[in-house]
Amino acid sequence: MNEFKAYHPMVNFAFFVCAICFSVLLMHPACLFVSLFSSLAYLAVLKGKKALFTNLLYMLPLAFATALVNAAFNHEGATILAYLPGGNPLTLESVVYGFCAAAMILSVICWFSCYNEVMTSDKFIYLFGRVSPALALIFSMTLRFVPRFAEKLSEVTIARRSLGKDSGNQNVRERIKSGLSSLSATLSWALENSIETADSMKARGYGIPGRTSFSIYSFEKKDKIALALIFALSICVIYGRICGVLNFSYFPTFGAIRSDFAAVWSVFAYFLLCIVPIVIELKGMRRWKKSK
Amino acid sequence: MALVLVASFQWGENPIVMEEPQISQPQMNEKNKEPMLTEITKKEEKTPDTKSPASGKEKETPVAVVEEEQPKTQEEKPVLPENNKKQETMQAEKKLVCSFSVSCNTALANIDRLVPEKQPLIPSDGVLYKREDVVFNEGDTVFDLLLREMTAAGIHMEFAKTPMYGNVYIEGIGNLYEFDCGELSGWMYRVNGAFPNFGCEGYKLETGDEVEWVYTCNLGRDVGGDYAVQNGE
Repeated sequence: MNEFKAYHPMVNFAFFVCAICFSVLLMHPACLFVSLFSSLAYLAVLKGKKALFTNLLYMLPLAFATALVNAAFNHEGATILAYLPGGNPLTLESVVYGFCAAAMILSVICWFSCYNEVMTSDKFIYLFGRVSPALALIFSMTLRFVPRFAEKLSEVTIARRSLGKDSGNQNVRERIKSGLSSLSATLSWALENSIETADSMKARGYGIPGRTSFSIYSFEKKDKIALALIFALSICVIYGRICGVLNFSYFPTFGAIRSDFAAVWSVFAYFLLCIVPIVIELKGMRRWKKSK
Repeated sequence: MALVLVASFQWGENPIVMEEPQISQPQMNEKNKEPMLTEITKKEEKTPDTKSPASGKEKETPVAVVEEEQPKTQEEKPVLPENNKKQETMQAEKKLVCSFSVSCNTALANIDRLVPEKQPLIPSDGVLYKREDVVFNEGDTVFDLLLREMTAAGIHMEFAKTPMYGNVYIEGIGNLYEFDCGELSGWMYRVNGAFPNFGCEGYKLETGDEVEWVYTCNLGRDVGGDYAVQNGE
């Protein structure tokens, strides 16, 4: 499960930039399907099937809400299904577009949870620490903030419970009160901690020119191959986008889905691009099984 | 009971109203019946009803129900055609009619600037709704008329209501939207050849008005509706 993680950070980062950008930019139904399918599959490979189902539990309602909100506010489209109470029409095109937008949002969320698994903050600092030290540090601290805050909050709550401050069977008012004091303790810890981190990084000479830092990453042959593959496939997808074969119009009527060679090849290249990490993981798993 | 009648007519729930004459019928003789019916038709005309071109048929439904009741008492039968005629003549007297049309000739003229996906939408003569005399109700605004006619004709129309100003803005008709044909394009309305300088919900219709909805690609200049032209400056 750590095969793709073991690749050079540049490969990891290049892959996620391509995957997330194309997910947002390509609204062609085939591309959305490819993106959603492969992001869910990769999430399942990384975190296991159980984690995937818990993710889907909040993702599906979110998708439905997105689709409904779109249909309620967007009335464009030639196929009128019904009229809303306000007098504006409810159109088939806006409903379908709502679902497609929901699929896009879901796939981007999935890609980002994969990103958090693979691209740890040390990798990010390694890539961008030289280019823009302050920005790289802030970015990695921000990405790390929420999980760290949640961890600390549960720590504080446990500590308070052990002191007998929060017995767990109080009324709502008491519980809110005790929760708030835990939160306030954690908040002041977070503020103090960010200052401490900044001071500590300064003390280590972070960002000073001429300073070298240790890293365990080396750019090997497999990284070269993977990066070249990602680059080549991205060029194919971008070419398809520029040619217009990956464009699809939802309004006022659905555009035609092209099935000529250029269109099919672009979608296939996009599919290959999206499954690069999955293929790498599966290959690693097979080799592991063989070696046993 | 008269109050109930008016109220239920206003909500357009004809079936409830139709029961009323049934209840009162046995108590009435022939002479009483006639004025009662005309009273109903008078009230009916005053009340706004939702679909005017198709309403010709709907308006007659109460009468049709009465017709079904008639066979109960045979003497009343000959009275009916007379009632029908009366109703029709009264309608003709009080009919509120205006002409109404929707066209987008300017989009046709500037088709090269139009969003490519929308080009197949534009009819070859640039007319989305052919000029027609339509019936409207007392107190109807230009917006009420547009909404009703577009709904009845099955033509797509999107508007945005702004409660703060108590008015509406027409964003698109027939999927031809504002900004679809250049950044100065959008829908405007003209009544009797002049462009009122306020929203269409604020214009109360009068009989004989000529309402035209036109698409402009140049902030009204290409349809003769810019501010300077109207004020003669």
